[in-house]
Amino acid sequence: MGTGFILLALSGIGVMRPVEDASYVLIGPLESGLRAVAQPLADIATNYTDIRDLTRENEALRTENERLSSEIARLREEATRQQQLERLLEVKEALAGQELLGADILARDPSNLRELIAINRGSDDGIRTGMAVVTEGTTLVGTVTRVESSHAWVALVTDVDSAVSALILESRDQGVVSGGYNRRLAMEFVSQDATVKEGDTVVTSGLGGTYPAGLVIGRVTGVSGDRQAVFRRVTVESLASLSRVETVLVIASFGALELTAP
Amino acid sequence: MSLYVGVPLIIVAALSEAAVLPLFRISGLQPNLVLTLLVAWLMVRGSGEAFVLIAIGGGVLGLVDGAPLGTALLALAPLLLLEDLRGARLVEGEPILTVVFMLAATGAYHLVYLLVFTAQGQAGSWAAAATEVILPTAFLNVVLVLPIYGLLWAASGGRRRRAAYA
Repeated sequence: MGTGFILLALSGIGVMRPVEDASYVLIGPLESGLRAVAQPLADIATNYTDIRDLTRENEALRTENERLSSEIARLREEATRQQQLERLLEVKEALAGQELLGADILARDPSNLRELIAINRGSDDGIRTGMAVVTEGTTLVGTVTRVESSHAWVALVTDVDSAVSALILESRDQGVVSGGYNRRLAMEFVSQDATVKEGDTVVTSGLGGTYPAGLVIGRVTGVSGDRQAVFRRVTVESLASLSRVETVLVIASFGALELTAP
Repeated sequence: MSLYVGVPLIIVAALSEAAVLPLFRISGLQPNLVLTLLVAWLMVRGSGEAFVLIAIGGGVLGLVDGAPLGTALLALAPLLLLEDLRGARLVEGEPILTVVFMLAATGAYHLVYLLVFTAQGQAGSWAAAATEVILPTAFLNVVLVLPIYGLLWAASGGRRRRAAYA
């Protein structure tokens, strides 16, 4: 301790400066050498820390990216659903006065012989057989054919067992739109003098009381039948994308009428 | 390869047939995935396992299709007869026999569905069903059954059953 005070005092008056200078000359290179050796190790340590930090940051960014990607997917899905609901709302406005029940499609019948879809509404929701089912643009999807408590099966208009009284919107010619195998849709019993042409719109006529009048069925894609035939055969394409439809509306206030002969 | 694989596989196949394949129909038609898987399984693994899978596949398919419950099981049941026919050795070569069985099974499968739909008063023309649905579906099933048969055959270690029969 005494030596320390003495050295401090001597350094204060400048006596120790030559010793200090000499020490820098001697120690400087050693210090540089040591630094040179230590620097890569320090760099490795720093890099290691940096790498660890970067890895951690990368992981965090990855997680964030995944979260954002899933968020984008969710928002896209929501936007699609929103658009669907908006279009269905338009239908609801178009069918003002009718009680409509929204339903999601649960399943599709895998059999190639029938065109059926299952919806997530059943007798508990007031669904009954014979109710008409529509989608965007008041396009007819089909009819409820079987009802369980929590779900129901709907036969699409393209189902082989489907027959809908219809008319051509432009010419008011009447007929029956029936389904066929392979999602075929045709309008039958159209009289020979009908002025039907490709592109005409086919809507429900309301005859028979099975469907409300004015629901869009599809568009005429072809007209055939020679002059000798009693009727012309009109091929129709549904305006609803029946294989892709995800949400539908059941017209709950319209039940099929049980007509009896006069 | 055993029922531990077969059971989950047939359940997934039945669910896919109802949920996925309808989205990828070709001209309004889709192959019968469960039926093709069962035919291939029957050919490669034999009737013992196939019987169990027919029951499970038919049960699950019946739950997800629009036909009355039990129709799918009934439609798959004729597969049980194929094992007897196999002994008759109508054709030489397992892949050819698989194709023949696939065609027969597709016909029988749709015939049962048509009968049930007719009994319900819901079927269209049988002739139209045969030409527009059953024949094209049989073609799709044959196209599908060969790779499934090949995969099962490879996964089963190159036909161990043949050695067992010998």
